Amino acid sequence: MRPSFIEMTIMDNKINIELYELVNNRVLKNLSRAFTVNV
Amino acid sequence: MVEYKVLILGDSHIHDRANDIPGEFMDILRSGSYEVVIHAGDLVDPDVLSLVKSLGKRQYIVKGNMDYLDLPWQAVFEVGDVKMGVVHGDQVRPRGNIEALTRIAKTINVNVLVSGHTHAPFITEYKGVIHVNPGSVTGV
Repeated sequence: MRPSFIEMTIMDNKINIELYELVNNRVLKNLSRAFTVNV
Repeated sequence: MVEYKVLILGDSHIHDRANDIPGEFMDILRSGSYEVVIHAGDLVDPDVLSLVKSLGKRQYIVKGNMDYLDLPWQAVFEVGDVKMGVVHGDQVRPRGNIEALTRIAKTINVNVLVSGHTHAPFITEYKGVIHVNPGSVTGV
């Protein structure tokens, strides 16, 4: 498995989620998703 | 409008399977200014608990099936307008079963459920629940 973690930014009901992975000693932002939740 | 930055880690397994979080990650994590830090369990060492607590203003850390630390099995909290929950995920079979994780999310009434245990990351929405799994921060 590649080492990984997630950063999430929340503003009101909007969420941005980004996946960071370590690939060949480089940190890559490999996936980014945006969501809106019903509050 | 307030913007909240949330860091999500999981399955560090230090020192049972890994020695440290990669240094390349630590540079980012230490400069992150996180409002909330979440660890989805299987830390395993108490040093990881101290580290996680140092990375953000609020911390939500749950017990994994490999943890002997005094931690809750789940946490439920709000970040801005968003209701969030975190569990390790060893409650569901097979690992990462999205239907079962969604039932947990509905039971605890959250918009976002953070889980771990699979060691493989995923970000997905299922039946109105946003599921976030950070994978293993040490890559084990």
